[in-house]
Parts: sequence; structure tokens; C-alpha cells
Amino acid sequence: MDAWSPFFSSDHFMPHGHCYLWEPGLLSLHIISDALIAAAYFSIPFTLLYFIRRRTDLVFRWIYLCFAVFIVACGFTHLMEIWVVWNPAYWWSGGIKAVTAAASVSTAVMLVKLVPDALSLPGPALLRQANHALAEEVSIRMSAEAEVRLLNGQLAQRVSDRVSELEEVNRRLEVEMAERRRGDEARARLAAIIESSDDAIISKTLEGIITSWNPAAERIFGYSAAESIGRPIMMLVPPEREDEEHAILRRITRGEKVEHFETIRVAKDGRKIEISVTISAVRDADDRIVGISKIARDISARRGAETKLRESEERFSTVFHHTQVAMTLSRLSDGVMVQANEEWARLSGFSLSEALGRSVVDLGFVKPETGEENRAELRSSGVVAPAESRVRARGGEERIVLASRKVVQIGGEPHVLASMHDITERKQAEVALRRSREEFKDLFDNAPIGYHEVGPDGRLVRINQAELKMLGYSAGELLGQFVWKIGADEQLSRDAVLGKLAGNPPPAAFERELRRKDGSVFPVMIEDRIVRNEAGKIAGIRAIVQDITDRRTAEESIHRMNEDLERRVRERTAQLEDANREMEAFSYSVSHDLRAPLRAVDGFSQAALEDYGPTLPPEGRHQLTTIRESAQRMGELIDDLLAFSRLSRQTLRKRSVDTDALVRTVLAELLERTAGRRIETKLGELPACEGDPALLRQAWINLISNALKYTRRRDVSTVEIGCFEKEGQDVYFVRDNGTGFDMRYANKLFGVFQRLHRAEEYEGTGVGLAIVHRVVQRHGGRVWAEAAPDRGATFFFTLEPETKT
Amino acid sequence: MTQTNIIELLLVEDNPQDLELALRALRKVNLCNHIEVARDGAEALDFIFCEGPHAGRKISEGPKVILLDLKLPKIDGLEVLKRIKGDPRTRTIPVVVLTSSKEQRDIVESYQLGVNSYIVKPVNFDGFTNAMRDLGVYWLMLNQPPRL
Repeated sequence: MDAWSPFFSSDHFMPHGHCYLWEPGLLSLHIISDALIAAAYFSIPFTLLYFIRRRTDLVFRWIYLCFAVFIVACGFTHLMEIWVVWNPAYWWSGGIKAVTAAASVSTAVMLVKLVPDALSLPGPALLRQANHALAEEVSIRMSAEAEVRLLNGQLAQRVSDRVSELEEVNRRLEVEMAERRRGDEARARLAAIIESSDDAIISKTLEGIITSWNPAAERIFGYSAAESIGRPIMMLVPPEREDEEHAILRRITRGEKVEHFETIRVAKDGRKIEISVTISAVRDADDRIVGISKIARDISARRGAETKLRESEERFSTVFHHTQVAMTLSRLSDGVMVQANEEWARLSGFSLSEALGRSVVDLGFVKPETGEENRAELRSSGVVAPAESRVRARGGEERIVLASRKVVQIGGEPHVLASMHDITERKQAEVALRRSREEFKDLFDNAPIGYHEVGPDGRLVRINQAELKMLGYSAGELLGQFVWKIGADEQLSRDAVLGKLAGNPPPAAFERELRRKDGSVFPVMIEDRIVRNEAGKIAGIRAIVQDITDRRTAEESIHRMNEDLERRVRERTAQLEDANREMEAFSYSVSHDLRAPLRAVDGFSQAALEDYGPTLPPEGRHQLTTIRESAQRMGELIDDLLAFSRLSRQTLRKRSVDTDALVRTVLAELLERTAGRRIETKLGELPACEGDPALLRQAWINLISNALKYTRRRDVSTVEIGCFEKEGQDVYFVRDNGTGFDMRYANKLFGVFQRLHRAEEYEGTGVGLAIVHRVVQRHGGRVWAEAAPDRGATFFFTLEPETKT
Repeated sequence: MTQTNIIELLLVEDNPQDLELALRALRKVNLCNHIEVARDGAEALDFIFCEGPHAGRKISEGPKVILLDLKLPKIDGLEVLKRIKGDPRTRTIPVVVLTSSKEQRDIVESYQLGVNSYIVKPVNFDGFTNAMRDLGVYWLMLNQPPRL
């Protein structure tokens, strides 16, 4: 509202009269002029409206309306000029001027556009001139028409003359045409034949220039008629066959006939084409040869078809010969085999060369009655369904085949196509499987061991005769029942079976008690296996059930025997312990009490010698000395005997013994006591052994000291110590070059107090080798000797049992 | 130096021949003075522990060495050894077992009871004499016992 107020308010401006300084003269001039202009402008539209109304043919009526608007608007601007002299509504006056400006500018623009159209409008003077020229022409035409009418009459006469003349000519022409048409029809027929022929029909001059070329020629050779006509026929002939073409031309020229022949020509694209050609001479009305016509047939396609046929045949032949099915083709009439494949040859053992031309019955491959049956069926139904039959191979071996036969027509004659699968191996496998099943069933039913199978719900699904017999039930009474029904403790069996079916615990061998139908209980050993289905889920349990009543009895008996034995062992051990204790007491007193008197004998003899020696005669002194020697010897005997007896009682403390080190120590100690002797010692390799070191040491001492003792009379003593392996055992030996002994007494060698030499020769008690023998024996080994008198001796020993088997 | 009433050597031996030979051997090597002889284990213990006929002795005046046979009437040698070595008052007295027994059992047990030496009496008198001399010289002259 406020925005519009300046339009209507006159507060801010001064009335336009101020510009005129309200001078009455100037004021009147403007006001009157403006009033007159406005009056004039308002009158013009009315005049224009009247004009438009009357002149209906007026073009561009709208431009008059534009003028009217424009002029009215101008009138208003002048009215406003008067108004603003007293009222300063300059916005209103400006607005009206703007409307006027818009109307005037539009009209001016439209007027400019209108000018070319307005210029083309004929003015009234021009129209008058044209009318005048037209009237003149009308008068000229009317005179000409009269002249034409006159001439027309003459023309009609001349036309009718000419028409009759033409009719005559037409009649003559029709006769001629009818004759002509007959000739053209024949030619057209020929042309049609040529046009539609599949064979190329080409004519040429005697010089070999092509004169006609049909569409087939175009198709076959690739040249269009335009490209060929007028060109030499040689363009179709491959260079190597040019002579052939020349010869043909010559023969035709000479009037000879050229028989149908096959040759090769070259197409436009260079492709060689096999064609079959017929050539004949073209003669004119006087029977002169004027050209050559040639009919060429493309036989490449035919050749291609032949090749395809051959390939197809080859393929089928390959399939036939190499298929894994034995096949034969024979005539239905007489059974003669016309074809057979390699598989059949393999199956039958006949070579194709000997088999073809004969029937399978002749060959003995099929029995005559079978062959007859087959043919009868083939004649009636045309087919023999696949069936097993026996055939005899060349060597007489019988094979089982699955054979089918069918009648097929070949070359119009019925043949039998037979196909055979060799199923001998399969049949043998079937037989073997059946036998195996029978064996299994036999075993299952008659095995002396119980066997049953439990389904996933714990019910018995099978049970063998042996188990039924064990339990006293019939199969019908147990199958379908829960297996724990036969358990002596049903709850225990039930929990175990259900547990196993749930996968826990794992299958095992265990002992259980079962209850017979009569209620008696007996022990069994059960070994079960979990049965799983393809998905690996538990599908049941298979169990082997063994009646162990007898075993239990035997076990109990063994147990009793064992107990008895143990008791006896205990008693015997006690006895032995007693004996041992007695033995110990005995040897203790021997050790203690027997030696005391000897000491007294020796000691007092010595005392007597010391105290009274000078007064005794030599004989007396000798006797006392002898008493002493005897006492001492007895002391030695007692010592050795005690040592030997200790050896038997002493417990064996086995451990690994470094034999080499042990022997070296012993040897060194013993050699210390042999000062002044020439002794050669030779130590071989001495492997370690398992044994009691103290006892072994004693044995080695005894053997080596023996060797040293009995070689003492040699200038050079040799002692060889070594070991060799014999039958998996280490054999230790001590060899000397000493006195040796007679092998006849070898049995006495290792006895206690047994001596092979007199005491005067070699001192000793005869216990040394007995100790060696006892030591070796206690280790489980063996000791022996080889010797000859004066040729030395060798002692061998082992420390392990002879044979471990 | 040595008082005449001090016993240097206690010889425990029941066998009269062995005793005589032992004394002869000791005499030969001049060790026969200050020897007390006990004829069985009981006598030996009475002497050592100053009991019975030896009640007037002082234990501290014990012998310098005891030669002890094992096989003795009444109380055997090992028992005697055990008593000597089991008593702090007598433990330090050297005890030499002098016996005919070569039994390992005896040797081991003697040593376990604390014997100072174990000598097997040889049958040969010369050997016996030598043994007596050697041990007399060793224990009575060379060995230095602790002062009680």
C-alpha cells in the first residue's frame, strides 16, 4: 500500500504550473494546445472504425486497430499534461506515457514489417490497365475460333481416309505377327531352358570367342555374361589343359564329334572346378559349322558328396571295428557271416579272415540248436532280446555272453546284426560272490563262536546258530527283542548297549555274564564293533560272543595251581634258605674253627724249631718242617674251598664290565710276581660284557695265573688273550704255550680239587678252574679247553646262554 | 714315661693255642709288657668298662689298642666291638679285629661298627708273627691317639 502511495500522493512534488510560473499566457498556450491535440486524437479512432466497417475487402485490418490504440493513448498523455499543471501526479502521467510508448513502438515495428506486403498490393490504376488488355484478347480469340471451326471440317475428312489406310496396314501386320509369334515361342522356350539350366551352356565361335553365357555359367565360373561374352574361352582353361581345348576346337572344326568328358576348369576366383562337358557343333541353315556350343556340368559337388559318403562309411566302420561290443553281421537266410568286428575276433579267438564267409554254427561258436532257435525267433519277430548264452571260443574255452540279435535290411536282403558283451568275468565274480556269501553264511551259522548284530534301537537284527545254541533260544524268540534281554544283569547290559549306540564308550572286548532261556548264567567274552551307515552315524553294533565257561574253569584251575605252586616255592625257598644258612654256619665254622688248630700245629712246630731246633737231630727238624708244610697246605685248601663255596652263595651283581681294562689290570698285577721270566703277552680286542665284576675278575685271575704257572718252564712264555665271535656270542680265550694236558682228562679239568699235574711239578689246590667254571656257569655261559701235552692249552669261555631261542 | 700299671694292649682271645702263639709273637717283637688278656667277651667288657674284677680301674686309663677275636664265648666279638664303639668314653680306643674269619659278612659288619683295622690270622706262624709285630708297632708306637 505504502509502495503505491507515491503514485497517488502529490505531497512531494510541485504542480507543473510552477514550471510555467503560473503565467496565464504560457499556461493557456499549453492547456489549449494539449486539449485540442487530445480532442483530435480521440476523434481519429472513430473515423478509423467507421472506415474498417465499410471496407470489408480491406487487408491488414489489425494495423488500423493498432493505430487506433496508439492514437487514443497519445490523447490520454495530452490530457495528463493538462491535469499535472495543477496536480503533481507525475507517476500517473509517466505511466500513461509508458503505455503510449509501448503502443506506438509496437505499431511502428509492425508497420515496417508490413511494408513489403503493402507494396505488392495493386493499386486501382494498375487494375484498370489489366482489364483493358483482357478485353482486347477476348475479341482476338473469338475471331480465331471461327477460323478453327472451318479447318475442323476439312480435317475430319482427312482423318477418316487415314484410318481406313491404317486398318489395311494393321490387318497385314497381324498376319505377319501370328507367323512371327510361332517362331518366337520356340526360341523363347529354348532360351528359358538355357536360362534355367543348372548346367553352364556356353557358345563360342570357331576361334574360341564366347558368344553366349547363361546364368548357370555365371554361377559356376563366377563371370557375368557381360564379362565373358566376346572374350576367349581360354580364360576358363587352366594352362596345363590348353592343349586339350585346342584339340577339341580342332576336332569340332573337322566335323568330328566330341564325346562327353570330364575335365577341370578355372573359375573367376581361381578355384579349380571339376566339370563334365558335352560339346557339339553349331551349324547354320546351310549346315556349315559356324560355332561351338558347350554344356558344362559342375561335378565338384558330386565328388564332395562321394567323399563324405566314404568318410561316413569309414567312421561307421571304425566304430564297428573298435567298439567294445562284439558284433557280427550275417545273412538271415543261411547264417553266413558277412562282417564281424575285432572285439568279436578277440572274444571268439577266430581271425576275421577264417570266420567271414562261414556261419557261427559252422565255426562251433554257437551250438547248432541255439543257432536254429535264434534264427527261428528272428524270422518270426525280427529280434532276439538280450539274453545270456554260452559260446565256445576257438580253443574250446566256454565264454558267457550277453547277446542280442536283430534283423536289419542290407541291400534289400535281411541280415542279422548280433551284438555280444563278454560277461564271463562278471559271471565268475558273481559265482565267487555267491560262494563267498554262502561261505559267510555257513561260517555265520556254524562258527563255534556266537555272533549277533543289534540295530540302532538296541534290538537284535541277526543272531547266529552258535549263539542261539549257547543261549538255548530259537531265532524267532530273540530277533526283534532288545539285546539286553540275554544279559544276566539286564540293567547293566542295557546301559552299556545304549551308551555304545550313543557313541560312548568306544567298542572293546569285555567279559559279561549272559542268561540262558532256562535261567542259568554263564560267562562270555564279547568283542563288539560299531556299525556306521554311509553318513557315518551309528547304525548298530556287531558283536562276537564267546562262551568262556571252560576258560574260566581253566583259569580258576590255573589260579589254584599257581597258588599251590607259589606255596611250594615258598616252602622250598624256606628250605633252601635254611640249607643256605646251615651252609653258611658250616663254612663259618670251617673258616674259623678248622684254621685255629692248623695255626696251632704250624705255630707250635715253629716254636719247637725255634726253641729246640739246635738240640734236635736233623731228622726231627725235617719232620717238624713237614708238619708245618702240611698244616699250611691244609690252610690253603680250606681257604680255597671257602672261597669256592662263597662263590656259589654270593649273589650275582651284574653290570657292564670293561673287559679290556679288567684284563689289563689283572695281567699287570700277575706279571709283577713273575720277575725274571721272559713272557710275551698278546692282547686281542676284548669287548665289554655284562657280568659281576668281582667274580669275573677272579675268573680272569685264575685263568691268566694258570697260563703263567704252566708256561714257567718255557724259555719264553707266551700268553695270548683275546675274543672272537661264534654263533652270535663273544668267546673269550686265554692261550698259552705251556705244559698243556691230555685231552682225555679234560673232563676232570673243572672239578673241585681235581688236578692234572703233580703238586711237585705245579703247586695248587685244584680249585682255580673250578672257580672259573662256577663263575662262568653263574653267568649262564660255558667254559671249555683245548690242549695237548706239552703243546700248550687254550681256555675258552662265554658269558651268555648258548642259544637264546 | 709309661707307668707300669697302665695297660697298653688288651688281647681278647679264647683259644689258648692262639693266645699262646699271639703272646709268643708279641714277645718276639718286645711288646709283651702291659698286656691284659680277656678269655671271652664278658671279661673284655668288664675290663674295658671297669666292672666286676676291674671295678677299681678308670675307664680313662683304657688300653692303647684292643686286639679282638670275633668268635668268643658268652659275648661275641662283634657285640664287644659294638659296645666299645657305642660308648663315647671308649669310642676313641683303636680296636683291631684279629680273627680266623675271612667272611665278608664279618668284615663288613666290623667296619660298620667302627673297627679300626681287620686282620685275618694266617695259618702260617711266620705270617702271624709278622702281623702281630706290624700291628704292635703301628698301634702302640706310631699311632697317636687323642688325649682323653
